[in-house]
Amino acid sequence: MIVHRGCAIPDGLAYDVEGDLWVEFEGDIARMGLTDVAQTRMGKMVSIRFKKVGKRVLAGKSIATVESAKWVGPIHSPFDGEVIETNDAAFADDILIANRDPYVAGWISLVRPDDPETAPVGLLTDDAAVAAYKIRIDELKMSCIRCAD
Amino acid sequence: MTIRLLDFGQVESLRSLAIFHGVGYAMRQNTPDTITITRPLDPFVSIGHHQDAKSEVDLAFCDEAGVPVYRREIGGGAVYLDEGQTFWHTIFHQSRVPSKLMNVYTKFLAGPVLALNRMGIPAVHRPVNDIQVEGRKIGGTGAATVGESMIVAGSLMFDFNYELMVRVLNVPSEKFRDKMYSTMREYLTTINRQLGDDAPTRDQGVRVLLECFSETLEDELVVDEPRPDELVAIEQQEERIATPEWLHLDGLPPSGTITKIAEGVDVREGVHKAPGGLVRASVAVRDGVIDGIVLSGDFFMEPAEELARLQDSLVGIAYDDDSVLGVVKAHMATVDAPGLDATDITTAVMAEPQAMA
Repeated sequence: MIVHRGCAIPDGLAYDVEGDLWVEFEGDIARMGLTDVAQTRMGKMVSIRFKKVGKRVLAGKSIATVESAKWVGPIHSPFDGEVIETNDAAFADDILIANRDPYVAGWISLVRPDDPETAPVGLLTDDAAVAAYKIRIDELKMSCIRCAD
Repeated sequence: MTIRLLDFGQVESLRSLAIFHGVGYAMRQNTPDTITITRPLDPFVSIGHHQDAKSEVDLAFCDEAGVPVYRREIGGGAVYLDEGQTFWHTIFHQSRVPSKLMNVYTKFLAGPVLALNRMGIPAVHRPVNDIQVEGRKIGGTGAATVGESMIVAGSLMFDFNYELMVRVLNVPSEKFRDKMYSTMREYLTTINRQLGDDAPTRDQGVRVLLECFSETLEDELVVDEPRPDELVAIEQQEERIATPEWLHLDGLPPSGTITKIAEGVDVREGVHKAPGGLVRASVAVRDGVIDGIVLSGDFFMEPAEELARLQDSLVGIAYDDDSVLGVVKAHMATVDAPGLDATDITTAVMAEPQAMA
């Protein structure tokens, strides 16, 4: 795990750096969530609405919309697919779950890509992801903070 | 690149919402940054992006009164709006706004604050996104990512109908409605309240606002007309916003809600099911301290006047579990309330808003 200016960039994940999204491929399923940078920029979440299980999602379209105290915006899927599970129960239990633990407990949705072969195209991994995210964090001139438990 | 000004003047309420959504969705990297101005012809209720319409708004009343209810793609709470407000929206490509939300608000609220100052109102920007006059809020603001655009929304609030604002909301009791009304009167002000006979006309106010946007954004505003693709997008948004499906999207459960009156002042509603009955708590919190509270529900407490005494005792207490529990415990020791203990009341008082189920 790399931590740059307080922002965690865990190993083993694929990243849509501009979209501040992480993706973990588990067989033909992709688990998605907000990065540390995303949860910090957004601030404390106050609400989330998930695209429902069974719905189709297109690349660049939202798998969920999130609302913080001062902003509303979408979380975009990087590829076409179908929503097969959402983490709604965890958010119902603790709306700050992604602010506390964005990479594990605070995941957003499981999506089955239409084409598992091409789904990772455009996402960055390993050193390339770290390098790109470091540049982004430096450009944003930000440091990450998490909600305390 | 200059900033484009689209002044739509007075339009139907649905159109006023569709315009900023449509212009936002039509924005591309090469689209000029745009400011829109609208003023609604008819009153309406606008609910926040993630609110549950039937929980937040008295839909039956609105229906009877002919007041439409629409969901917006900007956060926050339900609000009653009418021609007393002139809406402005800065719709900039997200690549051309500051990366930090705080700085987005600093950039785009500078114009409205300066405009109020020029009118003679000592308004200040209180971060993150409040515009205040001596501790009172004057108009609401919000931000959202819509398509490729970042929209910051606000209004020149010439007038505000406090009575209808509290009437259109679903509230747990009439006492709570009264409390909310008095809190809003105290913490929300308007241009006309501040300036009386010296208040500018709507047109004068808009002119000042646009001058101030130009000055603070250090760019010329160029009056323009909406492009054909924007008009199509506006029509599409008009259709979507008018649908019952969009209005009745799932929202927050009624177990805990917060109505933000001004930066530092919230009115919170908590509900807790205790063995002895449902406990509702409506709490005004100012800078972390309970400013007012109404407890209600279908529980039983004897002697009955102790409930009012408990409410009085909670005013001025820090809004945290330990402080509230301490006061409630002391009172509960002197009353008879079957199936209800200090923890039940504290849970209702301290209820946090929750995500949708």
